[in-house]
Amino acid sequence: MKPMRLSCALIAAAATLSSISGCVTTTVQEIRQASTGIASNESVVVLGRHNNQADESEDEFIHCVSNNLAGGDKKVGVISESAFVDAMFPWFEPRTAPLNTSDLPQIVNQPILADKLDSIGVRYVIWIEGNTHRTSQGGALSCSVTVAGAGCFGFLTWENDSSYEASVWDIKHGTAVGKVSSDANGTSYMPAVIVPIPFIARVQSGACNSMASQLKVFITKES
Amino acid sequence: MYRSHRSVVGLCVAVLCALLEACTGANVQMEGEIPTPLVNRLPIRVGLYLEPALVQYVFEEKILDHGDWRVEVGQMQAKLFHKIGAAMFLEAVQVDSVAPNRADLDAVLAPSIAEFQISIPSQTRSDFYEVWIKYTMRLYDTHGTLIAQWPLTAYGKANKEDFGFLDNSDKLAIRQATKTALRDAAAFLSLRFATVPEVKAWLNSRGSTATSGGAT
Repeated sequence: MKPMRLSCALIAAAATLSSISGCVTTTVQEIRQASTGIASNESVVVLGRHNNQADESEDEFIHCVSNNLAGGDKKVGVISESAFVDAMFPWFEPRTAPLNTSDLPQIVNQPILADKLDSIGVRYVIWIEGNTHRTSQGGALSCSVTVAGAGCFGFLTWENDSSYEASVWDIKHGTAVGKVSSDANGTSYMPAVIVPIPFIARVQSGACNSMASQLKVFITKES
Repeated sequence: MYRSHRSVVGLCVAVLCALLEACTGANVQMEGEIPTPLVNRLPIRVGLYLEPALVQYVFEEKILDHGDWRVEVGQMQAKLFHKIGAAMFLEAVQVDSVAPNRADLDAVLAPSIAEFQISIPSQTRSDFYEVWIKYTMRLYDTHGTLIAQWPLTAYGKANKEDFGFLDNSDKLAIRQATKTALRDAAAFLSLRFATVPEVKAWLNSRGSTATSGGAT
């Protein structure tokens, strides 16, 4: 019975400690090219760029930014990426989506597409590029299972780096209104003495939260 | 103690099964819908000839050390071409041959799959599952005379990072990549149909270019 109590205590300790996350450093920058503002009946859509594998953003990041824009203080109306892309099919597919604002008139000047944009109420398209990757890792950890029990011993550490850029297009006027970039990095640790205890630096989540907060200010600030 | 032995053995078996599962490829049945393309209709009535080889198309490949891969893509073809046809033309109806001899139709569109390829991340050392579908598109008059023939290459990819470490992540990723490729085919057919030189010439000869196929 004693080993059982010890295991439970270790698992409880691990669960408690794992809620303590590693440190994340985030930098956000904004470039404004034109004034913005959004009416209560207008919305934004957050789209990932899918034409370039190297800079393709994770779906999780796109959803995170969308959800953060749609909630909390200064929330704005958000239409999901899939709903928008389906509604505008086939004009925002990976190989047909406009790459520059100079391509926008071809879309917004067609009555059938302009009517659709009006009906779904999208004012701003936010294109996201960038991703999160592991920049370094070290340490060693080994686990073993025997008839007497199981356990791990060692220490792992890794560093993740996130770099994302959001380009904001005003669909109504067919112009680029600015960019918001969010860079984050952080080191995660996982010491293990019988039970591994991860201290995860939530780098991607940090980059997402910072970018979404800045985008809210950027879009709603009428300047 | 006996119970804890059983738990450990069970855990090991589960982990082994998960690892083996990851090496056995995927068997994917394509399903779902293709959205209706937002394009201007061409003023023509078209018959769709969907050959049995197209609507029953199954891709199969054994990838060394990565198991058997099978994608049943045929049943999506009928949905795809009916959806595009209904959006692109005044009328699109299925016909039994490339020469239906029907006065109520202007032409017959006959797609076929010339090639289907997949690649998985371990082959390309990237994060992406990829799918290529090469179609051969043919447009006939209603007596079966070829008006135009052109290749239509569709491409789709899916990032493995979006599917985590699930047992069926291979299956989900290949399904997503195939779905993207099918949408790509629909996109390029609906936007570029009227710009294929032989098709454009045929449409011009009929005076049918006023609202030509989507892209303006």
